[in-house]
Amino acid sequence: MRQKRSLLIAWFIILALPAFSWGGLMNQSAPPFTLMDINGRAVSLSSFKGKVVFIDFWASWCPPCKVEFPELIRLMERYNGEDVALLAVNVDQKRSHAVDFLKKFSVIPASFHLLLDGESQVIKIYNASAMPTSFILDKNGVVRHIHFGYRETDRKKWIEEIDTLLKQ
Amino acid sequence: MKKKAVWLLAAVSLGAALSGCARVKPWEREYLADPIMQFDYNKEEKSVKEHFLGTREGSTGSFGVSGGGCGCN
Repeated sequence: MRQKRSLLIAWFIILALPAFSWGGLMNQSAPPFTLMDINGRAVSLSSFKGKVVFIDFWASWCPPCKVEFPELIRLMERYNGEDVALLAVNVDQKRSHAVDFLKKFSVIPASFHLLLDGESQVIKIYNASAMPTSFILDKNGVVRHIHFGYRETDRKKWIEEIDTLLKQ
Repeated sequence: MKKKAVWLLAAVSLGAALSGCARVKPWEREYLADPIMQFDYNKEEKSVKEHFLGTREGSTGSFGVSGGGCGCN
């Protein structure tokens, strides 16, 4: 009987382990990376130190990402000229898929950087557990907020969070 | 002896079934998200197929097809 109970407890612990095994990147320095942008230029996260950085992992095949994308452009238009940068990291395996999707958008703000991670190297490090996943970094490069997926209410939250980080 | 064989068979079956499981990361779902992976990818073709099947089988239901098997509705 006692053995059965021990087995049962052990089983529950094993089942519960994945929930605790990944504390995430919250309040930790964002892992550094360098990726090519859509125009073939190398862009490093380290070059944005001193700015609030919004990293968004997205793909053209992901429906919520498609809804989120115009909102991200609007967000960057709002912070035009301020210390805010957006790194939209595309994880499409084919660059052409991203390029085709981007044709829909005529104007993309200068602070909006389109990076390509077709090999999924950076997204693996960030361990994005949903598509899209966004990380908001403070001016020192520390992850302060993480958003999984996209909801209509997110835009309001992003603005509140970015405004708070800009004041710090 | 027989009991052991049953347990062994069950264990082997479970092992075989579990080996087919893989956790797909969110960013690896590109091919799964392809519209062609949907059962009703081609809606027109699906509707024709269902109508045809409903007519031939003389049955209704399961697809939401109505009619008595004459193929006229």
